[in-house]
Amino acid sequence: MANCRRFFEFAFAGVILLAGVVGLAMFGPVGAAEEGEDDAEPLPAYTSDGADSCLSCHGDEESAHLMAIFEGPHGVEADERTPFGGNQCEACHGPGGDHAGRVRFGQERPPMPAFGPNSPWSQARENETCLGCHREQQHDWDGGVHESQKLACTDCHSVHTRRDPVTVTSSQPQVCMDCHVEQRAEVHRAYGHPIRFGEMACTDCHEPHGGLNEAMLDSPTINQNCFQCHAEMRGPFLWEHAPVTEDCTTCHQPHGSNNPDLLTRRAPLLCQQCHSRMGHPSIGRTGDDLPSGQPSNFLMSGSCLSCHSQVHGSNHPSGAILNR
Amino acid sequence: MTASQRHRRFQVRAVAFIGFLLMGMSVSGQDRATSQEEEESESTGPDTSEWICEDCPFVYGLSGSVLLGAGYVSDDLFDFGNYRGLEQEGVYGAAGVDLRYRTEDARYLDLYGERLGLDSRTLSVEGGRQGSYSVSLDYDETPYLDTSDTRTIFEGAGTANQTLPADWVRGGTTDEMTALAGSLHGVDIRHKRKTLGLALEVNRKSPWRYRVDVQQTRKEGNLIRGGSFIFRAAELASPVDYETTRVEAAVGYVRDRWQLEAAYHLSRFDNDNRSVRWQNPFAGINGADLGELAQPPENQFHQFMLSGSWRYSKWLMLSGHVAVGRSEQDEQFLAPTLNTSLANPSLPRSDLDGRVDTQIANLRATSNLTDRLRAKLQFRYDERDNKTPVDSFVQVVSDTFVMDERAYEPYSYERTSMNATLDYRVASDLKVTASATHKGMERSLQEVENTDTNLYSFKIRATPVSRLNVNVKASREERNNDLDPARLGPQVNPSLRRFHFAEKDRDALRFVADYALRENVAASLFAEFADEEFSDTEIGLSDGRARSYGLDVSATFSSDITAHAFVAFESLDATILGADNIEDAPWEARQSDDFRTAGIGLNFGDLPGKWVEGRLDFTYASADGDIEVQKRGSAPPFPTLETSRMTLEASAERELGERLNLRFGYLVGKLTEDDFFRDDVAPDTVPTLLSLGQRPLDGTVHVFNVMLRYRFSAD
Repeated sequence: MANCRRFFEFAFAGVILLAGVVGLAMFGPVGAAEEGEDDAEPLPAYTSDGADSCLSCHGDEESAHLMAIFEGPHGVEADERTPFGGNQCEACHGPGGDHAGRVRFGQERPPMPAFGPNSPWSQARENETCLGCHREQQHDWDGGVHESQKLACTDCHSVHTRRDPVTVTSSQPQVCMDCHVEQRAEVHRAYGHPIRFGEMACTDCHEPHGGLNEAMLDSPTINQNCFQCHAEMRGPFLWEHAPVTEDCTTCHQPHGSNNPDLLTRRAPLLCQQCHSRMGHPSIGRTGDDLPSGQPSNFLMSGSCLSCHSQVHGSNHPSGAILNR
Repeated sequence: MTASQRHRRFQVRAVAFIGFLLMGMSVSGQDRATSQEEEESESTGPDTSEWICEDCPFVYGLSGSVLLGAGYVSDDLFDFGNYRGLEQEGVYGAAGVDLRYRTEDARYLDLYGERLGLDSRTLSVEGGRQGSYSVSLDYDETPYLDTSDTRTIFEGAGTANQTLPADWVRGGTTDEMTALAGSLHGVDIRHKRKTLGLALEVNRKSPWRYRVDVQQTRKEGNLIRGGSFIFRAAELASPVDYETTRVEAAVGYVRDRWQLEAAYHLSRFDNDNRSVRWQNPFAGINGADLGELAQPPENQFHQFMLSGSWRYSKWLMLSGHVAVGRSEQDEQFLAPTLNTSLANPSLPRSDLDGRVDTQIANLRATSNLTDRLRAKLQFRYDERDNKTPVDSFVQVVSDTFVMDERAYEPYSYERTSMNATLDYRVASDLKVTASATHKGMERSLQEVENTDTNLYSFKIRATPVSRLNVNVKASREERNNDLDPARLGPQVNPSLRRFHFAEKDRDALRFVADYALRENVAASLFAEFADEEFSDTEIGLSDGRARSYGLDVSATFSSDITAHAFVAFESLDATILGADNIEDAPWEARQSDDFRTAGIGLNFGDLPGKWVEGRLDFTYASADGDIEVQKRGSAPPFPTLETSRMTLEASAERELGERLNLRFGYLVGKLTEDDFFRDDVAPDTVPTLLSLGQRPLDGTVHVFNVMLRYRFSAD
């Protein structure tokens, strides 16, 4: 089959490309990566007393909000994986010897290496700090959309909190939509998933840590993603509606729509994009079909769906036209 | 374009791309002395044996807060209560909880809940030992409230058996149903999801990771479903008694540079109802007095997935997953008809024995080829192989006529996608990204068996002046197919091109500019334009156009006071072409949707006096939808579809004592909607449709709540 042949050609081209990249990466003469530049800088010394050194200044009223870290999962002394089970503040902020050391009168205090005002470490290196512990998240992070766009972990996550807002269903969308402004507008449309009501999080569908799937979806395909909650649509049905098996988004706009059921447009036009069969399916409906004229069930209320209500598929032996 | 031309174009592009990569390989850079070993030589870290952290306010014991109070809803408005659970006028209980109990050896118990007094409640309990294991139990309810002013004649509305009133008078049209007005009674269209989840995760100081998630969702209530008998339909409140069980179990092995995970996923769907039976309120033909709609059949899906990643160095990172899955469905078939006056055809077998196998592979390689150049290759494969046995079924159309048999059509497809992306940092303030994607799809039993889509994009990210970041992305998509019009069938317009596989060109341009007006004020502007044309389409969706613009402003006045505002406009236009008859009588429909969204928010982390926090959020969203159909003769235009939602939410909290706060909340929502498809459609408005008679949506609701917050402090 022609498509099969093309597939193998693409696969062949892909293997060559992959081999080129792998070969170059493993054996090729390439320059130091940008991210590596600040790795070469010598590290300052650590403080002598750890967090006690930090809190001698940052334990005041002005820094009170930072203390929320001790209510959260990062401030657990008995968990060796957390900052306070190890290098304390300097586990994330880097060695603070210079910052906490003495400075001459008029001399600017050196910044902490990471996660602070004027910190010299690059965003990539700061992310490495997080990923050093959260290694599971690194699985798809490299090469993912958010990593490619140089997002910092702290662009989304808050550490000095009792509960990170991005991990709570009701507050997460606000974090995501700080950047995804088009999606924010979409979720405010009249019909949508309950995102703006705090009943659904973006991560119910998306994997923000660089998922490999289309649109960084949580499941490998769009339909699998939808079937997580809408398993009644999965079938397989005796009489399937072919576009449904391919892609739910052929008819639905998952972020929000001006049409009921998140449809991309209203029936009958929605259906007439694909159906022009002899008889009633092909007839263009007009204002004549409104209650002010000759009200028609081909237009009003459910339109096509008033009869063909099993549009996602039917398991009825006589349901070939999706009306049983 | 012929297949050979496409093939040749592909070859040219592939060769050019390979050449480009090979050129990249020849770019000489510094000898990569920094390799794996160097990366591994991490600092050994300080001696922390003397770091006692005596000033650290570790939190042991019980901490957090409980909110308890009451609220009042000013009016009944079903749609306002949708997803919120605030649909009824009157008093409701308002409660929330955020408690954590922690011991010095990292054991903990966490309790978190929101909206506990409402039907939209959520509650989570998690316990365990941090760094070793965790067990969590989650419960969540989500109400879906569609409409409350609907009326039906059916006894048993919302159940699997819906009958006509004893004194019902059938008619050929609704105006002949003389008992209609006296038989109507109200039925709310609503359902609710209740989800219970149990998760266990073992995360000890070992490379092995284990997790099990079990989730069960019950969805109960009803929804609107049409039941029809030959151009006569009745809207039914169809029962919803669904249960979905999901299980995910995984074991992983995580090392510094690579990790593997094997996971099993089960999704099982159970339905308490096999069908909905309803008596025909219209005068049936050929004795068609009783109909039966199949309910979604019980089914299950199993999938095994192996995923992994390998980070050889910063210069090579690989990740991917492969999965095999199977969907099965073997619910017993319903009878072909309930019409006893017709010969009930025999079935070739008692159930579908449905089986669909899926195979998935997603692989990605990323490499920082030089300090300026990064390449990414991604390959995706997705196959749906429908292995359900094929039989033919005699059709009893609408329980009225016995027609010819129809053969089962086992739809299958195979989807592949390959993407190559190059990022090049021209200068510290200028980065360009070029991307090329080829998508191929092969499907069975449709007039288009193969589609090939090529997508190219070019993106510039620049910082032309200090504090200004600009992103511009242009993309073009081209889709070709191997349409065989003969497969459309004898009664279908031969010019029809179904849009989801029709030949298509799509151009898009996106522009985003972020500007820091001052140190504490930032603005972001975006604009996006997209045009798509279905070049070969004479019947069907022929073109589409999208425009969107937006402006965001955020400001930080102090560490405790922040504000944000946004406004966005979007317009979507499309043209659909049709013909009343296959030979002639063309018509053209234009649909235009315009959306407007705006919002303002203020957050106060600390207020003067004993006020400890405050919040104000205003959101406005409205949309107009115009449908214009041009065809022979003149017809009155369609009214505009309009929706408008305005929400203002405010809250403030005041300290009453050392542990006690008082919280005030206010929410006002104003909703209006003009929907000519449903407005003014009473049960008898349409002669051939016995509708549920939804009414226009319009209303304003105020919600007040007062709660006491008691704070638990571990000290």
